[in-house]
Amino acid sequence: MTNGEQRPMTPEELHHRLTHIPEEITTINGMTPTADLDRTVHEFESNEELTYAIEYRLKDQPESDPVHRSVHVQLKRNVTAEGVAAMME
Amino acid sequence: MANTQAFCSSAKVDLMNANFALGATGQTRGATTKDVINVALYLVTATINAATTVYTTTGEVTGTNYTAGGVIATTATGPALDGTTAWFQPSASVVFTNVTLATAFDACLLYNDSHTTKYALSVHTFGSQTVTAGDFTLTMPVGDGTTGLVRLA
Repeated sequence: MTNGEQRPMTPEELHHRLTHIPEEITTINGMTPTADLDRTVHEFESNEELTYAIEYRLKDQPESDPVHRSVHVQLKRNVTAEGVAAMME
Repeated sequence: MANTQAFCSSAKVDLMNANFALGATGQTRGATTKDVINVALYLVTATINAATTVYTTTGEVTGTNYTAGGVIATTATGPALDGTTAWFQPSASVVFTNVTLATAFDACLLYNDSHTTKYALSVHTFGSQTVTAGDFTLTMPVGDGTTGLVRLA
C-alpha cells in the first residue's frame, strides 16, 4: 500500500494542526494561499469520538463548497470480544 | 491455595499472537513475524460489521490519492495484557494524506494484509465525513485494557 502515512499524533501536534494556519494549503485548485481563503473549524464530540473538521472556502465564494476539508477523528470507543469474554468469565 | 477454573489471561494475548491453532483449518504461517494490519475506509452505504470476515472492496471509498485496501497501520507495540484484558491497537495515528473522498464515509476496517485471505479484525465507526484535498486522520484511544481499540476481556 502506498497511499497515506502513519505517524504519531501528539496533543501538541493536534493543537498545532487546529491552530496553525500555513501560508498555503492543498485545495481542489492546487496549492492555494490561505490569505485567499476563509477558514472554519467544526468540532463534534460524543462518547465515541472527538472530531475536528477544518474547512477552507474561497473568500469571494463564502456559500460555496469548501475547496479544502481535512478531518481529524480521535477514537474513544473500543471493541470488546463480548462473545469470547462471556465464555471466558 | 485452591485450584480455580479459568481461561488463562495470558492466553488472550497468545491468541492475538497466533500462539494457538485450535481449529481444523489452522493456518500455516509463512513467517513468525507480525502481520501487516491495514486500515480501509467504508462508505456510509456499506455494510461492514461483526459479520464481516474478510477485507472487501464492496463499499470501500474511492477518491483521489486513496488506494483500494487503505493504508498500513503502524503496529510497533504488540498485544498486551492489562489486568485480565488483552488489548491491541495501532501504535500511531492513521493518516490518509491529501485525499479527496467526496462520498460520505463513516467506518474503517482493520484487517490482516499479510494473509492472502485478508482476514477482518475489527470495524470502527465515526461520524459521517467527507474530505476535500485534505488529510483524514484517525487517532487511537488510550492504549490499555479499558479503552484499547481491540480487547479480549
